Amino acid sequence: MAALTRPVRVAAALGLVALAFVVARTEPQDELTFAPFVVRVDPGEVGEGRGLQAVVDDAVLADEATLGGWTGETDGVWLVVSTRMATTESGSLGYATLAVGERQWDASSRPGLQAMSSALLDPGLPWSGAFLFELPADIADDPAARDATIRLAHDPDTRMRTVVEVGVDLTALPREPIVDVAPKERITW
Amino acid sequence: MVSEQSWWRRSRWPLVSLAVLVPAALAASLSVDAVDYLLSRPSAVTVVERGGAGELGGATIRVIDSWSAPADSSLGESYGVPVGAALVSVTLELDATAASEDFVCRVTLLEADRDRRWTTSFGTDYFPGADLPDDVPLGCRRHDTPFPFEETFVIPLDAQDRVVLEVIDPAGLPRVLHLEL
Repeated sequence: MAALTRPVRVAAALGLVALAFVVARTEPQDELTFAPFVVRVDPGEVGEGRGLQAVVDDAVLADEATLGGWTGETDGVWLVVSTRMATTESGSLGYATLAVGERQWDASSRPGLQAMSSALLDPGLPWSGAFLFELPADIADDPAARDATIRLAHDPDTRMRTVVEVGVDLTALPREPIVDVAPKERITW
Repeated sequence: MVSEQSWWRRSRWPLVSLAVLVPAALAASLSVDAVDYLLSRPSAVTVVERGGAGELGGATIRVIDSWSAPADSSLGESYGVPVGAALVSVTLELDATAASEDFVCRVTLLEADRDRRWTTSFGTDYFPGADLPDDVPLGCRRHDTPFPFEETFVIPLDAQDRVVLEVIDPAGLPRVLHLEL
């Protein structure tokens, strides 16, 4: 190869400096580096990733909910999400969140041990049960309610973990005066 | 005097240095986390055949009894084992008299080929340890005399013939015992 001329060397050096800037500016930030592994599925479809299998079977809004001996009264509205979940590697509790635009809610702990939020998930031993979200009464008036997202996980810290996502239109859900929620139970897939 | 050598030949030593130093720098930066990760994994496995004793953290542990009750068996039905599952009971004898005062160990059932683990479960109507002495610890921790304790697990039916008992001394990782049942 012929010897590089001085202008070529200067251009190459400047090019490398520019490339370094591009690399620095496009380096993945923490929220991307540690982002969860999202598996987006439709209602009724099994979402599966490392560590978790999960399905959202149904969702309904209710002014009041009962579960076992518990009665949930609220000034808002309940979103009752029926799910099936199991881990694939080790035991863990089940977690669920609902995102409406920039707002996010964790599943309520008020329903107690019979709700899915108290299910200890184990590999190969799925549970069926419901997460209950206590939401503002006017949630359906939020423009983002048409494109809400239910997220199921096996750890509250979802960084670099599987999250099963299901989209839901809260404005299209039936709203019942009262819903009798089935207690969680072991099932088979 | 102007050299007649090519650019590649004149730059061979810097290029060789780059070829060595760039991978070395990458390896050094990644190894900081990798070493910690590997040392926290139960990777140094000692397999103990059925009936044998294993040593961990100055303690000796062995399986003295184990049984399984599938959901569709009479025993499984009487203990309320969930459909599709089996209740597995393992009774161990621990001699931790020579171990440190703060010795504890974790016991899980492991299906090694699918990397599935189950922790102790109380999700059935079976009450573990009912026939064992009540003046000794209920689990794997130091005691002044050797003692038995019972652990129960609920696992899928398809795993019941493929599991081993994994015993981990958190302070002794990555060393771990796999006790065959």
